[in-house]
Amino acid sequence: MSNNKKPALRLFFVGMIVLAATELFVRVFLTSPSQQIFDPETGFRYVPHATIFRSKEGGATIHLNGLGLNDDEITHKPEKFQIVALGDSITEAFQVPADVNYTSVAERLNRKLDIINMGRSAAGPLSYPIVLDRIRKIVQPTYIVVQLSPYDVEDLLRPNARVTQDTKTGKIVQVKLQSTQKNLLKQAVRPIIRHSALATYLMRRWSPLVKEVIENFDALGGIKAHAKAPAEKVKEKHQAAMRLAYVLEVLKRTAPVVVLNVPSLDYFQGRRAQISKLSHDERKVFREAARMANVPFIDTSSTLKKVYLETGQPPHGFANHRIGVGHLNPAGHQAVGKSLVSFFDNTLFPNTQP
Amino acid sequence: MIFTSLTFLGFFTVLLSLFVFIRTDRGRIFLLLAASYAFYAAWDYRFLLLLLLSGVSGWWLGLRMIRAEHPAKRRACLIFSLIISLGMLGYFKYANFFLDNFAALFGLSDLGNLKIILPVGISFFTFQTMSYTIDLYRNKIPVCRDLPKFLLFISFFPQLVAGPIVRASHFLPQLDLPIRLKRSNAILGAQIFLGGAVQKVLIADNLAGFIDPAFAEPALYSSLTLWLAVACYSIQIFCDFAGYSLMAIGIGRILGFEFPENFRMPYVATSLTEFWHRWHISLSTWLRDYLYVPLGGNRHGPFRKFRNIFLTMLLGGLWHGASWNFIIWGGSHGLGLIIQKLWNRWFGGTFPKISGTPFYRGLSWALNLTFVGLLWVPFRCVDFETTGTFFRQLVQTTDGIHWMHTPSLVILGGVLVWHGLYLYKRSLYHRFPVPQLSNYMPAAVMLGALILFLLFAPINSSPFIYFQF
Repeated sequence: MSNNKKPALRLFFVGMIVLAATELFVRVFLTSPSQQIFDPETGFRYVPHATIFRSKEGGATIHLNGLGLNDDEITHKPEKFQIVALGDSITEAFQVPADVNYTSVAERLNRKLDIINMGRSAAGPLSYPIVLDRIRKIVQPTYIVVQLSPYDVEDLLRPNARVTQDTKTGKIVQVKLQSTQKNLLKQAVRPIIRHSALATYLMRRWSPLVKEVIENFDALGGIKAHAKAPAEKVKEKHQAAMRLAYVLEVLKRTAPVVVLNVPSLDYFQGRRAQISKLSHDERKVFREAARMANVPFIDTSSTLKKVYLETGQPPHGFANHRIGVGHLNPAGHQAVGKSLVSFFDNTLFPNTQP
Repeated sequence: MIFTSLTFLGFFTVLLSLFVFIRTDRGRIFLLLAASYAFYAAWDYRFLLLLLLSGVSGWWLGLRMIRAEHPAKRRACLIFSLIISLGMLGYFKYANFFLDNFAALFGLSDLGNLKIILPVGISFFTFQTMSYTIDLYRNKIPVCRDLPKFLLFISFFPQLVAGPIVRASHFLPQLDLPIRLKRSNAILGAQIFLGGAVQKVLIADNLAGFIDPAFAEPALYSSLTLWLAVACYSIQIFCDFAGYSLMAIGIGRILGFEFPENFRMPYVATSLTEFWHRWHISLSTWLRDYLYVPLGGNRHGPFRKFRNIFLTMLLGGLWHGASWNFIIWGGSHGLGLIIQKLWNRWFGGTFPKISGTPFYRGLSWALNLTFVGLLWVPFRCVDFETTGTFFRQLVQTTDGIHWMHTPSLVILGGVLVWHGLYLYKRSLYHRFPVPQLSNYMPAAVMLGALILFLLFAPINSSPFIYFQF
């Protein structure tokens, strides 16, 4: 080997060592490699029995079950009421240890409940019937919990949903989901992100910037996101309520349904908290949909406010991200779990109430 | 166009490419001048005329001053130049502040807002023009007859919008030398730039996520959280400004120019005097040479000396912005300096046995750091009311959200190690606080830094804090 090739070779080896060290660092401190499998209907699902760690908010190591859910293996327990909890990242709860999330809290508070945690981050209500349909052979729920939280209205209106309405009544009769560009991109890079925590982390971190660049290019080409007129917003909210009502109706065919609303709060001095503007607006849509579908509605806002009033610490947020903002922390999960148990105590076991 | 943006990368790449094609020194001066004006126009093209006015008036009055035979004419040229510079500064930076306070003082309802936009970098380029004319008046420097060179001195883009404040005696002679791109300068400049970018993007910007909410609503948080916020802001403002200065120095070095050092690890200082010898050096020496010394310096007894210190620091505070918070910040530093000098005067020789011990030095360092840190509170808070709330919450023990932001704690730990290393082996740091590396190391360091940026650089970089001044 000639001498002038040595520096390049040395540089290559130094580069490889730096990359390997970074990969190790990312795995230990930042995130595990992506455990997502592309799913044409719901975007993605998790690899069965995967181990997941993310340190962005909170940071617990989660071991998924054979169905790729953040729960124990599903077994038939005849002495217990089987309940399915459908929801997004709040139900999925990768931020806290598995025994601390609200489904586990509820199970501990009422030993007769067996709650199957079917939460998945970025999942919107339109995908819940599909998700439930897939496990109907092994699960016969007594009740279905539909957890709703900020940005679910946005999810309900997302453009990748094909909605068919009855021409006479205007009622929604079918909703079909299509893959988003983001999920198709994830599928394309899956061979890399499946094995590399560094690639997973970088993709997750820089995707907002890539999105912004794409939007800027769109804007240059004359495609602009226009501000919506108030009438348009009202129409959209009604459309979202109709879609959600449709989802609840479909789920009701399997078992009774309850809506569990987990809002975001704004915190003030003097232990005062109020529901955020977004959650306040969305709550109206959720209530309207629950009324249309005739399902009960659990509003956890007062329970969450009470946590702040009593402890002085918000039930949202984590020290490594921002306290008071983001996902539920252990105190928040405890409060939501209590709200849920309180509902089931009243509906499933009304005679055992003191 | 901030130094850590892709836009600046494109701008600098084009500039370097043109630099290679244009081979004459004269051509390169014109190229740098055009680049500097383009850089400024990217901020706000409307104020290009102001920059030009500052430069041309300084140059023309300098020439008039040299040609004037009578001392009164020389003096008139100096005063006229100062009126132009201070007039610009006064109108654009302080007019609304003085109007508001005048109205409040005389109980007038509202004198109206002049809707003035503060031109970026005005405090820096007007100070450079003033230093030139004053030095010229004092016969400390030769006159600059070359207009393009003088305009480049006033507007050179690396230090145009946030310093360091460059003196004519330091910069103009460099324009008389051949302007060359050298490999050694490029490597050193890139290293210095990288050191600055690490300070700005990885340290200062990552602390913003904790500092901004804590300073916006101090009443919401616990005492301990706010103490952490004070510590973090002390680091943020240092790394933000020192980082910018290093990036400016690095860019200048790549292009073959040397700028003065602006920060020298100020938080290792064990006294306030030492702190000001290490913090924003180009401003503190400017204030010393053009304000403190003309006021009489320390030549006319202790009272005049203390008065001069106080006035210099008060005006130094006002230089940072038209707000009572900055005046309080500067005035408090002035008082602190006076108290420190009185202490040294009265008790300096009282404890000769302990004054040199590590315990005494450690105690001095801790006291100094706490004083400097607490004075960042009025500097950072938006108004009096928030400042008062912040201080009240700092000492209360009852309530508030307890938030020990773990990434900020990690950064604080890292900064502590960095300062410890500096104290342990100062020889690692040659002239700037960037370790000088052997020939093989730069590539590895560059790769490591690139990975760190990809991992930890905030998606939306915060603007530099000192741009507002």
